[in-house]
Amino acid sequence: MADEPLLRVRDLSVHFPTPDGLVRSVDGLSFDVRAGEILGVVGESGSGKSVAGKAILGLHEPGQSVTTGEIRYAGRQVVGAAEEELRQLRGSEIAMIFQDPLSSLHPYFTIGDQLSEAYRVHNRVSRKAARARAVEMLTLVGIPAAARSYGAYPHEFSGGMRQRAMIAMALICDPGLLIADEPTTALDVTVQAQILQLIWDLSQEFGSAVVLITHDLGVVAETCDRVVVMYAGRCLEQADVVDLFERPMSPYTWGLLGSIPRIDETRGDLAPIAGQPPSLIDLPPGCSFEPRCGFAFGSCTSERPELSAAGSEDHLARCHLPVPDRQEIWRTQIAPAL
Amino acid sequence: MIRYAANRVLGALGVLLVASVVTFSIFQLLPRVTKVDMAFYYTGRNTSPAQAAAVSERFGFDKPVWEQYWTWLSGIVTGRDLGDGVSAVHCAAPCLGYSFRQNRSVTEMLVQAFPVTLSIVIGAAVLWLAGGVAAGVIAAARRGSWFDRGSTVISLLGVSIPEFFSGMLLIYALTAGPSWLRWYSGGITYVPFTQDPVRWAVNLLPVWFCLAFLITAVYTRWTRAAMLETMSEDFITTAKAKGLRRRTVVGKHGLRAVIPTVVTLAGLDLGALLGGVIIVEYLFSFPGLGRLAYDGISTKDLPVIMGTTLFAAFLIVVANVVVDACYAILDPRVRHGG
Repeated sequence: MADEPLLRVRDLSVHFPTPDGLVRSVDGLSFDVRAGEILGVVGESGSGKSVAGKAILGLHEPGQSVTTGEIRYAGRQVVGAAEEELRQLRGSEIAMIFQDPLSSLHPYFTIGDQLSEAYRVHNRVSRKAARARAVEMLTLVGIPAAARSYGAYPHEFSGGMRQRAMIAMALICDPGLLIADEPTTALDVTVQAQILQLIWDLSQEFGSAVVLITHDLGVVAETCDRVVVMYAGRCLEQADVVDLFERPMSPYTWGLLGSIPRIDETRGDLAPIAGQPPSLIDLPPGCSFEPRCGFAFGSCTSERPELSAAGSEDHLARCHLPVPDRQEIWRTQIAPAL
Repeated sequence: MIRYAANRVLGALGVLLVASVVTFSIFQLLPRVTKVDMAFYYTGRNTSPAQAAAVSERFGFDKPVWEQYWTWLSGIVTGRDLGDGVSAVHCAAPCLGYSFRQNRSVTEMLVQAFPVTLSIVIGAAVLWLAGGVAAGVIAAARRGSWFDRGSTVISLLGVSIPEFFSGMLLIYALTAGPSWLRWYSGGITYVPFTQDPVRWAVNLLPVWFCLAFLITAVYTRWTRAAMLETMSEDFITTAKAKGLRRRTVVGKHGLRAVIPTVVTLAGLDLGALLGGVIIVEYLFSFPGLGRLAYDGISTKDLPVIMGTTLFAAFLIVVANVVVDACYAILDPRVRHGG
C-alpha cells in the first residue's frame, strides 16, 4: 500500500444517456496522482476533462449519468460510494475550483459566509473560529483588508479576487487534493499568471496535490509535474511534463504543440489541427483521432490502440505507429517545424 | 439609494395621475356613448328631465370636462362639498366621490370593504406561498418522483378548474353536503376580526382555500421551474463540492436564489388581488372591494366604479414600489448598484 498513489483512476467512464444516444464523455480513462504532485489534464473543449474532474468528486447526478470504473482516493473508492461518504470527502479531502468564479460563488451570500460555511461543514467549530479561519485564508490568498472583505458580496470583487476567494474556500479545510477546472480561463491575461502562481505556492505550502484541468499547454509547461492529454473522452498520452514537451509520442500532442501561437514568428503560419473532434455519441471504431491524423494507416480505422509504454515506462501513449517510427517522425518532421 | 427611492415614489405618483385621467375619461365617455344624461347615473331611472338638469347644474356636469376632472382630483386631496342647500353633503378629505344612490361617500365604502378583501387575500397568500413554494421546491428536488408527478397533476387541476366551479362545490359541500362535511351548516359569512377573531378565521378558511387553490398551483409550477433552473447553476455545483448536505444545498443555496423572484411575483399578485377578488367575494357573499365594484357596475353607480378602480390602481402602484424595495433588500447586487 505504500506505493498506492493519492488518487488512482482506472478505466473511468462517464456516460450520459440522451435522446440522441449515449454520450461517452469519458471512456476508459486511467491516471494516477501522487501526493503533492501537480497533474495537468489537457484537451480541447468537449474532450471530457471537466467531466472527469467532476467525477472525482462524485458530482454527477446518478440519475442523469452512468459512472463506471475505479476512482480511489487514499484507498477509498469514490465510484458508487454512498452519498454521505462522498459528502464527507468533498471539501475536506478533495476540493474543487471552477472556471468562472462569478457564477460559481453564490450571488446572495457574502464571501466570508461562503468560506465559513465550507469550514464549518467539516469542522465542529464556533462561528467565531470559522470566521477567524476564513479571514486567515483570505489573507493567505492575498486579499487586502481580509477582515473587511469578509462581508463583501462576490459582485463587489474583481474577477481575480473572486478566484482568489474560491481558492481560499477550496483550501480552507486543508484538502489533500485540489481539482482546478480551467481556473484561469475566465480571467484577464494579466491575472492568469498570478492565480497560477498562487495555486502553485499554496499547493506547496499545504502539501496538496493538484489536478489542473486546462486547454492551455503553456500553463501545463509552467506548472505541472505530469500531464495527461485527453481527446474525445480518452487519454491519448501521459508523461512527465519535460518528457511530453521534448519527446511527445502521439500525433495528437504533435498537433497541439503545433497550434500554440508564438509571438516571435519564427514559425510561419499557425498550424491548427484540421477537422473537428468526433461526436461523443458516435465514436470511430478505431483510434478516436484517426479521422484527423496525418499518419493514420490500416489498423488505425478498425482497431482501438491501447495505452502503452512509449520510450520509457512512465511515458504512455495510445497509437498504432511503432514507437521507433514515432520517434523518427518527431525528430525529423515535427520538431524542426515548431 | 435615497435618490433611487425618491425616483420610484415620484414615478408611482405619475402612474397614479395617469390612471386617474384614464378612469375619469372612461366614465366621462360612458354617458356620451349610451346617450343617457350623467345625472341619471347619480340619481336613478325615475328622474324627470327637469330634475336631471337641476342635478347636472348642481353637481357641475354642465361644466367643461377638465374643470370637472380638477374638481374631482382636488377633492381627493382636500375633500369637497357636493350640492347646495338642504341636500348639501360634505365629502371628507380623501374624497373619491359620493354615491347618491346609497347616500354614502365612496371613501367610506372603500374603508368598510377593504378589511374584508385584505382578510381574504392575506390568509390566502399565506396558504399559497407556503404550499406553492414548498411543493415546488420538493418537486424540483425530487424531479420525476411520485411527488413531482402528483403535484403536476394537482397543479394542472388547480389551474384548469375555475374558482366559481370549485368555490360552488366547496360551499355546497360545507353548508349543504353530507352531514360529515357540513361544517358550516349556519352558512359562511364574514365576521370582522375585531369582533371575533376565531369566527373570523373559521369562516374565512374555505374562502382562503378557494382562492389559494388556483394560485398555489401557479406558484408550485413556477417555483419548481425556477428551482430546476437554479439547481443547474454553477454556484450549486460549488455548494455540492464544498461537501454541504443536500438539504442545505437545496434549502439554503437553491431556495435563497429563488426567493427574490417569488417575492416579486407575490407582491404583484397581492397588489392586484387586494383591489378586489370579485368572483370569490361574490360567491361567498363577502362584502369586500370586489363585491363593491361588482355592485357598483350592476347598478351603474358611477362614483363607486371610479372610486374602486382608482383605489385598485393605487394598490397595484404601491405593490410595485414595495416589490422594488424588497428586491433591493433581497438582492445585494441591486442594493449596491442603485
